[in-house]
Amino acid sequence: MTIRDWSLDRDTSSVGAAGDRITTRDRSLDRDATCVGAAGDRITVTFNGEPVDLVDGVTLADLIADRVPSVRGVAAAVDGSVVPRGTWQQVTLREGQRVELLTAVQGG
Amino acid sequence: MDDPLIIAGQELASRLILGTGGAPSPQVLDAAIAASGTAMCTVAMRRIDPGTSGSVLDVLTGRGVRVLPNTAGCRTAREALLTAQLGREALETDWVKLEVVADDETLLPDPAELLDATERLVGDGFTVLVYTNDDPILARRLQQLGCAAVMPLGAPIGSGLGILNPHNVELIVAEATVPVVLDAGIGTASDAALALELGCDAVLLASAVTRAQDPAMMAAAMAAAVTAGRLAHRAGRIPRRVHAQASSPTRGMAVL
Repeated sequence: MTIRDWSLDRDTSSVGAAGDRITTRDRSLDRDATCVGAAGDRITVTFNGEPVDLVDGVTLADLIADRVPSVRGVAAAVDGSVVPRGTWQQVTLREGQRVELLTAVQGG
Repeated sequence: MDDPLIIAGQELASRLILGTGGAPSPQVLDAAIAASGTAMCTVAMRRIDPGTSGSVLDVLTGRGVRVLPNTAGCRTAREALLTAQLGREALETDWVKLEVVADDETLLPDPAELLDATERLVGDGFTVLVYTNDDPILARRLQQLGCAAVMPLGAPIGSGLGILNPHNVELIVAEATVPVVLDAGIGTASDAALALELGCDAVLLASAVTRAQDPAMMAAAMAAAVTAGRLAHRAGRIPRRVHAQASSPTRGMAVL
């Protein structure tokens, strides 16, 4: 699995084994993203406030692995409920869901 | 002198709790933490930015200090509960600094939401250190709901105005059944010393150190102030008097 440098490439990515490639597109950068792939095979979720186009069947674990280099110190919520780390792999994302991925930052 | 701060049964080696917000860089924060001698630092929970290099967690774990996630920015009990749950999940601690503020102008706690949030968080198994107004009755109610520490403000967050109502802080201390942490408003070392002199068990401050011209030096000043204030409180100050009272004996004066 390749960890991308997000600062250099916020457009497309892949995770998982070869032959099981999952492409995500940031719609803010590519308005035609929803046209990619066969109709009905793709879903759009909101990731940290931004729409993201995903292959249908992607799990929360896949999305998080794709978005951050390390899952240390992060926590995820889907549609306003915390999803424990141990269950990320079991959560298959559905059309329209809101995913929030948080971490600790400097704060009083 | 063995005089540890104990919150929820956990001993903390310093009575200075440091907020990490406002530090210009991780290096400056690291130096301030070292100089402060603090045993616990707060962090906020925010959307991850993968482009950011270095993490506040690296600094805190490197210094071996306890991490206390807060609910800064939350306006409702519902938001605070979810943020606290995310902090617990991310940082593997059930301790939380509960903040529920009413607006951006004052950043003052919203008492109704705060009571609701405290009840929900305690019910969900959190150890709740609650940031509150300098209102003795609200502090009483929060303790009745089971908070682990009550943290009245000295003045609005980031204002550096010191302790605006020391009388209320004394009233809160007088009937407290949990540690009292003076949180917010500290501007300089004498404010922190006063908090401990009034009987507070600790102070929590961020801006006074992180936004000082020399954060590490101010952190050292705060550490000394907290120690001095605690000692003065325990030593017992003299009563205030209207008139002077000579310290030299009046007997044995020569007739000159």
